Amino acid sequence: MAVARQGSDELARALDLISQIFHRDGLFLDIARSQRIGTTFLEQQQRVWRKPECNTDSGATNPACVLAPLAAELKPTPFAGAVSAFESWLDSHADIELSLPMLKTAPAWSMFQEGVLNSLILIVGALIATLAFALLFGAAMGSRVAPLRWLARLVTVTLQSSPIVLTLVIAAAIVHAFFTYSDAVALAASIAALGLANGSNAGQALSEAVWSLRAERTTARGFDLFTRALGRSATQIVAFLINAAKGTPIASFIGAPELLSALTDITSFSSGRATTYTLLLVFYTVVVIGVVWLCGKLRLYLEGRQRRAEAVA
Amino acid sequence: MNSLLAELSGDFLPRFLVGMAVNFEIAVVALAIGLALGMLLALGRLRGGAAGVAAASAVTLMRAAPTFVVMFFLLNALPREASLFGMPLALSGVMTVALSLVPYSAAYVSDAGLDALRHWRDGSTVGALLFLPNVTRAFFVLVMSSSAGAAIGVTEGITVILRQAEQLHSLDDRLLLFALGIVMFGIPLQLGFALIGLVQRSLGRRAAVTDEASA
Repeated sequence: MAVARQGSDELARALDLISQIFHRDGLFLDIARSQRIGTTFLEQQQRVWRKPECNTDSGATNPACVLAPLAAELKPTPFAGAVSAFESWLDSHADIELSLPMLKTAPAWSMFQEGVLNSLILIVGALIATLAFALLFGAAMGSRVAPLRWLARLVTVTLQSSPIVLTLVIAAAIVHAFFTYSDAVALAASIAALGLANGSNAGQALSEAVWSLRAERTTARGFDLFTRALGRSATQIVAFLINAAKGTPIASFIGAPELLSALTDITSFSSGRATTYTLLLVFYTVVVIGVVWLCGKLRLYLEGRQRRAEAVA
Repeated sequence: MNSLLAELSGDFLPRFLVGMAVNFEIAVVALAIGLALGMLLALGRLRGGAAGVAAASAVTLMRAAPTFVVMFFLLNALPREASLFGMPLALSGVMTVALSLVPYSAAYVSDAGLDALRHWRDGSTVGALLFLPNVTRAFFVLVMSSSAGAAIGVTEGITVILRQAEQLHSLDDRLLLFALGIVMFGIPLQLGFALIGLVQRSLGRRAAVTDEASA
């Protein structure tokens, strides 16, 4: 804990002892557990402050007990020089002031890489979850069992009525009630929320296709009817898949460590906000264009299957 | 439920309604700009040629741009001292959220507008009028999407709910409050969708009458 450099010796000593006792007796640990946050560091600190050589009134001055001071100077990446040279070259030749802080220091580069990876995991997860929930809701709302249909309809209307930010917050609140906070938990909660919100809408379109095929007195039944309905509702399903991919950056609102979150952290200790957020916009736009292209292929495949099935019928 | 009501601050409902009004305000601004820009793009696409290619490319990019990222881009990438025709261009939180929704609304209006213009050109007034329920649908999507403003401190409906939730101690009470929020957002949304359904059915009946008359 930081105190004023002068005239705060007694306050510093008191805070040292309070922290030492709270670590030793597990008070910090209990608070962390009650709030479901990670406890690895606090458990390690409790072990340290319970050692006989540390559990004394002079333990805070023992280098074997206290942590080494934080190295405030950020370690550069092996290619930081080349990045700086490129920035200077662009400035002098094209009069463009480009700043790439995520490539120049080791912590920023590591956060950037993790952010990109987590964003891709989130997008793939959201797409799979949306498709899975679409099939589930589509089957339930297209079912001839009325209570199942009503239940699925109620959940769909509820999800449609909830702004996505609220759906994410609810998912996070429920997940945190059962699990300790971690990056994986935040990603899982985001994937579930995005999948449910978009999958329920896609499932509704799928069930409407099922009912429209039944209204046309098609001979198809069971799985065959369902696959033909998939073809008929392909455009809607694809639209919600794209929507799910586009919605992934909002997961940063509940602490999912995706690229927006990582770059926001990077800009907190470096310059170049304009370039950073421009790159972020380009990254997500390119990824979504890729998802749109892939989903277009999926739509063509589903529609082709439906046309072939109708030709056979 | 009783414990939740006891813990809710007295001015929660008025604050929430004021917050929801901000959601509607954001949606109105985003749709108004989206209508102007989207119809221009639709006209460009209808005309074809180089203008059509440029308009279609712009719509593809706008369709792919995630609202949440656009919002942070506007917030961080625009210089604080930016100006337009000598006027300072410092965006308020509400305007930042509204502008971040413009790519979506303009792309949507462009698609729906192009369909409407084609129907109009083919002599189907009823088909062209489907533009109205489609735009109404976009408006309600914009109202729901405007809750992204909570991430940058805009005091809209969801922000009010989240601030209130921070003061509640039990998860059950928080979930009840969230459910209340869903109901409050759900009522205008479902009424809006019911209205769209009514308009579409009415247009469908008119189309059927028109088809019979022409046959």
